[in-house]
Amino acid sequence: MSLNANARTAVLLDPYPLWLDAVAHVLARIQIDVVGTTTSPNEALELISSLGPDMLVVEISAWDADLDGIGCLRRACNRFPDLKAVVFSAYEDTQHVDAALEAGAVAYVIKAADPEDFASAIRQAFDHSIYFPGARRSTPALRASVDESPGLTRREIEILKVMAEGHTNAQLAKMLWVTEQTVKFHLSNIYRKLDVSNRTEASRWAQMNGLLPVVAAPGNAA
Amino acid sequence: MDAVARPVRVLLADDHRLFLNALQVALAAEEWIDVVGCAGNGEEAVALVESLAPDLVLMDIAMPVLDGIAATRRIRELVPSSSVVILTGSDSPQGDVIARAVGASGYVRKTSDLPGLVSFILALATLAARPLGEEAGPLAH
Repeated sequence: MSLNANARTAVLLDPYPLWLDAVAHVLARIQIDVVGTTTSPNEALELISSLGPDMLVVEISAWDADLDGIGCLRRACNRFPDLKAVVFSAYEDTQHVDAALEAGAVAYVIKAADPEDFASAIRQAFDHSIYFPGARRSTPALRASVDESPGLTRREIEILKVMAEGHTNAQLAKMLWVTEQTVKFHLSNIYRKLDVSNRTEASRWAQMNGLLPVVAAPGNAA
Repeated sequence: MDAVARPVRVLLADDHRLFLNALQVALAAEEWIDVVGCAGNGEEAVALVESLAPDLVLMDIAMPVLDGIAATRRIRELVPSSSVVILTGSDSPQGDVIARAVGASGYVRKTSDLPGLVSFILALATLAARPLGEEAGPLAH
């Protein structure tokens, strides 16, 4: 299904096939290949496991007899820490929003949103460039690292984290939607602030300071 | 499709703009369909139908200001030449009952997919060679 080797990929979950098609239309416009769609939360997990997409777009009202949309979201985020999960839902109440963000969603967009707002939320999931007062959320490990890091900006923390996962500069640039030159610029600042001389030492610092995700032991996923 | 002398002029009414947008793009690719307008609520739909007199209105039920059921009733009273197809998220037989009660020409379930919806509208377009009305009976997809 993928036509563009450089495009990010997504799996979509929504109880209504009409909505799956509609969301796929919008994602295609922003160069995201939809590699799988389903109306079943269980099948969504199978698709994520087999296709390894960059993101999951999920309507949390989807449900199977044994798994609802929030449960699917939580399992997906626990099992696949690199997966960006964006909720796109008809639910507009704060309980659902809070539950989805707590389950691991990086963004929550209501279905009445303008298509361009939805597209922006998808872009922001990969490349944070907009922040709102009091809206910053991060994992406990990342928060601790930010507090203890020697003057690293949030962007530098993000780059260090991805680099420490073993990605090359070219991959970093693609993942963060910046040029390779920008990545090198950030890395150079990171090395200086951490007082290290190369990516191996920087990666070790990231490892020692809890920047890398904790991988759940098999069978521990929710 | 030979029975269709000109593109069927379609108006879309749904408060979900992303959905409207995708549907508009999908329908625009069909030479027999001309999307003449989009409405974000029932009241807007009634006003647009009065000014544009489309052949067909695809009407969502749950919309702010004026819901799709009330809007359909008003459209059937004010512009009887415009047929209405109701878009429903429900799988229950209520769709058929509602469509008949308010004078809609049919209903489409959101459990359909986009190609299915386009095919359904094309089928209606074929029927549009004769007026879509009560005598045709509600169509369902």
